[in-house]
Amino acid sequence: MPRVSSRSVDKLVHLQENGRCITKLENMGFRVGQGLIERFTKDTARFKDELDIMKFICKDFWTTVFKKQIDNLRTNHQGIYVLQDNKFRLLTQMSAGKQYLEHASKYLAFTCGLIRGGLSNLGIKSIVTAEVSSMPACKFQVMIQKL
Amino acid sequence: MIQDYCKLRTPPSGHKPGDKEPCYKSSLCAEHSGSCSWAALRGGVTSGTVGCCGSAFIARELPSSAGLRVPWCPAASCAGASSELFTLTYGALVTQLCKDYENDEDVNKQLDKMGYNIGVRLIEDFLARSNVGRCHDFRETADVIAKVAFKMYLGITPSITNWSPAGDEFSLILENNPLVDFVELPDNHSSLIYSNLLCGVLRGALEMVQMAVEAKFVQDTLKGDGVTEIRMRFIRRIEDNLPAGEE
Repeated sequence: MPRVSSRSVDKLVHLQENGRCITKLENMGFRVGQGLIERFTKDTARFKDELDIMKFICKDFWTTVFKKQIDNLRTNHQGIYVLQDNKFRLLTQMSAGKQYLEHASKYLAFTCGLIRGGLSNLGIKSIVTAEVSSMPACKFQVMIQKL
Repeated sequence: MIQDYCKLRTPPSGHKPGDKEPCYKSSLCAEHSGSCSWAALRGGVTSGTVGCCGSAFIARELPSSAGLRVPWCPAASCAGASSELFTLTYGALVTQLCKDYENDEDVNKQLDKMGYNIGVRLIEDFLARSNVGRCHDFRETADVIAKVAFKMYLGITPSITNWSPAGDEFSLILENNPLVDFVELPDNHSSLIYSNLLCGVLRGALEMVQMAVEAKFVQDTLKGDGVTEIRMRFIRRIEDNLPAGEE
C-alpha cells in the first residue's frame, strides 16, 4: 500500500510540475506575442473585424514566425476559431505519428501563448489551447472572450 | 541593394506569372554571397529556394493588386522579424529565469547550462551545414567560430583580437549583439550576465569536437561598455571520447 500511494503522489507531483511548466511557457509566449504583433502591424491598415484579425494571424503572422501559413481556419462565427497546421514546424523533427504524443503539449504551450499575446495587443482577449492527435499536425483552438 | 530589390512591384522583365524558375540572378546582390532567386507563383504564399544570406524567399500576394507578385525579402524585413522573435523569446526566457531563481548567479549558471545543452547539439547542425573541415589549431578554430558560426546563427561577424602570447586565449569582439536589442538591465540585476547562453553554447559545441574551453564575458554593452567582449581560453584537448553529456 505505501509503495502504491507514494508512486501516485510522485505522479501527481510530476503532473503538477508539468502543469506549472506549461503555464510558464505559455506566459513567456504571451509576452513575446505581444511584442511581435506590435512590430508586425506597425504599418498595416486597420483590421475590419475579428475575422480579419484571425486571417492575419493565419497568414502573415504565421508565415513570419513559422515560414508557412495555417492550412485551415474554421470558425463557428460565434467566437471560436480552430487553426489547423498540418506540418507544425516545432513538431516536424519530433515524430511523424503518435510517438511522443504525450510530450507534445510542452512544445505547443509557447505557441499558444504567442497567439494569445498577439491577439491581446490587437484588442482581443482569448483563451488558446492546442491539441495534437498525430504529429506533426496540430490544431490551435482560440476562444474569444467577450468582455 | 536588397532593399531596393524588394520595393519592386512588377516582376523583372522576361518573367511571366506562373513561372516557377528563378529568372533573377545575383547581380543585384553584390554584397551577399550566393545566388538570389525570385520565383513568381500562381497564387497564395509559398517559399522560393534559398536566397541571399542563406534564408528563404517568400513571394507574397498583395491584397489590393491581384496578379502582381512582390518578392518579400527576408534580408530586408523578415530577417529583422525573425531575429525579433529570437530576441524577444530570449528576453522572455531570461525574465522567467530571473523570476524562478532568486539571485543572478543562479540565473547565470542556468543560462550556461542551457547553452551547453544547445551547443552539444548545435555543433552537428553547424558541421552539416557549413562543411568546414577539421581545424588544425586554435587560431583556425577562432576564425571558423567568428566568420562562419556566428554569421550562420546570429548574422554577425565578431572580430578576433587580443591573442595571448601562447596562442591559447583570444577575444571575440561583438559590435552589436542581436540578443540584447531592446534590452536594458535593471539596477537590481547588475551581476546578471544576460547573454551567458552564448558562453555555454561555445563551450558545449567545442567540447563535442574534442576541445575543452572556457568562455566568459569580459565586456558587455548592457553594462555600459562600448563593445561586448567574450574571452575564450583553450584549456586542453579532450582525448577520451566523452558521450554527449547533458548536465
